[in-house]
Amino acid sequence: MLLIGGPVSAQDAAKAPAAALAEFSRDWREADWQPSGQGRFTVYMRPLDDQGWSVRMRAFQSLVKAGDASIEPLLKLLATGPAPERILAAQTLGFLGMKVDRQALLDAARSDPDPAVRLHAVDSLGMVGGTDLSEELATLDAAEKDRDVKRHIAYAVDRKESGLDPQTVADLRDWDARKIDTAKLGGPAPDFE
Amino acid sequence: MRGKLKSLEEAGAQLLGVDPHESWAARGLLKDSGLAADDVHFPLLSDPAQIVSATYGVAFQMRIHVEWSNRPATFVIDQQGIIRYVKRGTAFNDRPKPEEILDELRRLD
Repeated sequence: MLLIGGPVSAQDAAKAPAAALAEFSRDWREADWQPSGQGRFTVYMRPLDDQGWSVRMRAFQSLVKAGDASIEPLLKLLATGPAPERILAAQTLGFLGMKVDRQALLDAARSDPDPAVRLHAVDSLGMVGGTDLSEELATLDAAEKDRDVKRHIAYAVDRKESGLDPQTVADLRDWDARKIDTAKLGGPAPDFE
Repeated sequence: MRGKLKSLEEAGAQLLGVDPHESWAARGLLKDSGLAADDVHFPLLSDPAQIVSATYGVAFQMRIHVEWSNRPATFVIDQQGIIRYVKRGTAFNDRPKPEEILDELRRLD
């Protein structure tokens, strides 16, 4: 039995990405986003009783916890998956470090039809770090029309080659996913070191 | 904002913000809003791995344009570490007024 979110042996780590992605594809409902006003911001909210966000969080952590074993399936999904899976892949790859193929992230940032995928691909390019991508980012910026994606390109430029703090990845891998949504009125406030 | 912060501090409270971005992006967002880091007079904690946000039940629940963020939410925690007030917003601007928070703080006395 493979327990998503629990301790992961080396053998289970190899199986975890497929299990996490299958759970996400089965339980995430994209149609549950509800429009919430069209003023200064175009905002969409999940319903208050939504469970999808916790499905997403568990998948995200399991994929990061599985480490290198997640890279290939996520790159494949980024290139060919449905939009919600491509967003999850783009969002997660930045947590998987220097072995992630930057060219695949650049391709997604340049040509994915969904701006959310492009935005997270740009974020992940910055998070992987270690390489001067200023020319590539300038090219992306020149071609990009979406203002949010353009803002995130600027953030990636600002950070230069500084990748994601390894402690952030370690904290996510070590976090106990059973603590999801445990902050309840009248109960103890979850604490963090 | 500074005046409201002073009222919160006089009521014995400390305000903490949790932002689901890396500090690079958080500073950029402030800049895009016409603010600098020095303009924020309370600790703004960065939670890019979403572990605080998920533990408090607010991660991945709002999209502004195409960007994912946390559901706006407010928690009041008393000095014994017990959660005494929770407000989970149903829209971007669905947040308690400072006066409502101050009322809650007074009830803790």
